[in-house]
Amino acid sequence: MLKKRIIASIIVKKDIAMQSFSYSSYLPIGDPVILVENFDRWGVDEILVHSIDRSKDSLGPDIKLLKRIASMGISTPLIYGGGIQSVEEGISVIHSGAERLSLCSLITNTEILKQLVSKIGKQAIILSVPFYEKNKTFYLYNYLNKTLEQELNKDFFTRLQDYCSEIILIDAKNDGGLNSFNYDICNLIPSLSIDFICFGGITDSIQITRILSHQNIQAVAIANSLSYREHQYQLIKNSIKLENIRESKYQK
Amino acid sequence: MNKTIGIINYGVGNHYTLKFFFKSLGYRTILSNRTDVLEGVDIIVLPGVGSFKQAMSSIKKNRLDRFIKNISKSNKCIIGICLGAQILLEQSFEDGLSSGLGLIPGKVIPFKKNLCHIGWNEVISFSESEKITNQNDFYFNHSFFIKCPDKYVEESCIFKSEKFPAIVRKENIIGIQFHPEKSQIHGRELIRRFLRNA
Repeated sequence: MLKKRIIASIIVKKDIAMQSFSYSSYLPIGDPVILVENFDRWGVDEILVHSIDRSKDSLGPDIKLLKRIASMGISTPLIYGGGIQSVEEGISVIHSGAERLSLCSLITNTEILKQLVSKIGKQAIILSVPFYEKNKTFYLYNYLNKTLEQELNKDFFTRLQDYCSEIILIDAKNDGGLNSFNYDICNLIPSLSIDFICFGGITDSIQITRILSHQNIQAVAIANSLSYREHQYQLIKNSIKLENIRESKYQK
Repeated sequence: MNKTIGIINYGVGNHYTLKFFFKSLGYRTILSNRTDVLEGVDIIVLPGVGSFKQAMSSIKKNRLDRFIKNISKSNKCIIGICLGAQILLEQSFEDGLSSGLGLIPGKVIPFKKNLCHIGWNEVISFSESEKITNQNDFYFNHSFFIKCPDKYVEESCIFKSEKFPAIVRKENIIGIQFHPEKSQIHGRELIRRFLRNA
């Protein structure tokens, strides 16, 4: 049975792992490589490293960080997002140690997405959709200039299915909050050949159980709450009441 | 003295991950697309991540196809991981029809409805006589799968009611559909076992 995943996420800004609150305020945690090392040792299902300032400052993907991570010989699957603007940059991220790319600013650039699918396969591509709810309507949120863009609906997601294996829905408004992910966005998820990941304001096991019970949601991503308490990842996993969750074992 | 592993660089693989993974297990590694550099290694690894057509095009461009076929006739072990396992087969339907290395009879086909199989799934032994993976979970990341005669299938997996090979083997040639290098404790144990016997 394919297991639903709990992804440990790291938000990186100016080379430092941060706690993010609504993509507008940040608190430093420390060296992202140390967090990756911890998550690998905890036996998490997958690690997402998201360098949020790389696109804004046109810095390209953080290859130096990826190589530092890979050189530790981690054996946990790694997703990287941030600064990828071209096919070549996408390939260099895979070469440098990530199995999958998380793409945000390219979601409307179908030409580059098509080329990436042909080079690295669609299984290696996740499209990242930050959203913001206003007056019970969901909008695509541009976290770089903090504006609301097009309204999200089932057609929007359907158009993306040829270019990715999964879509990550990021609740920008509730990011960093406790148990605050807006579940109503899940009503917009159509039945497609791809699956969805939820992120932003996801903290407790009851909430995670509810989200992962949705048949088209394959994973949730958690960031801040993993830094609040010792063994938090294992505590969450052990209290989720679903049979299709993998037992995570500590690694030496 | 520990063996040297030659990782074939065909331009689209997750080389860096594999290099440090094998290093952490105590093996020396050489990453190259040159036959003269790879000639002296003890074990050949074909890495995963990428598309079939791109990988085969790079292999042919660098004349690695003949080199790998010659290695397969020696007693050296060849291990293909994910995409690397798929290119051991005769042909694939990914992005049109393309020829593979043909070291194991069979083909590579898509999952129904273009589904992707991503995440941790249980690997089950094909025969009761030898259990390699002990029904543990391993990390998969693919949208095409191997279809080959049962005699080459050592372990299998089920996704959306489709049963497909997770490990295929023909003598010294091993294809692993999942990513052992990203499957934590169980992946390490599996690779250690293959390398020990290689």
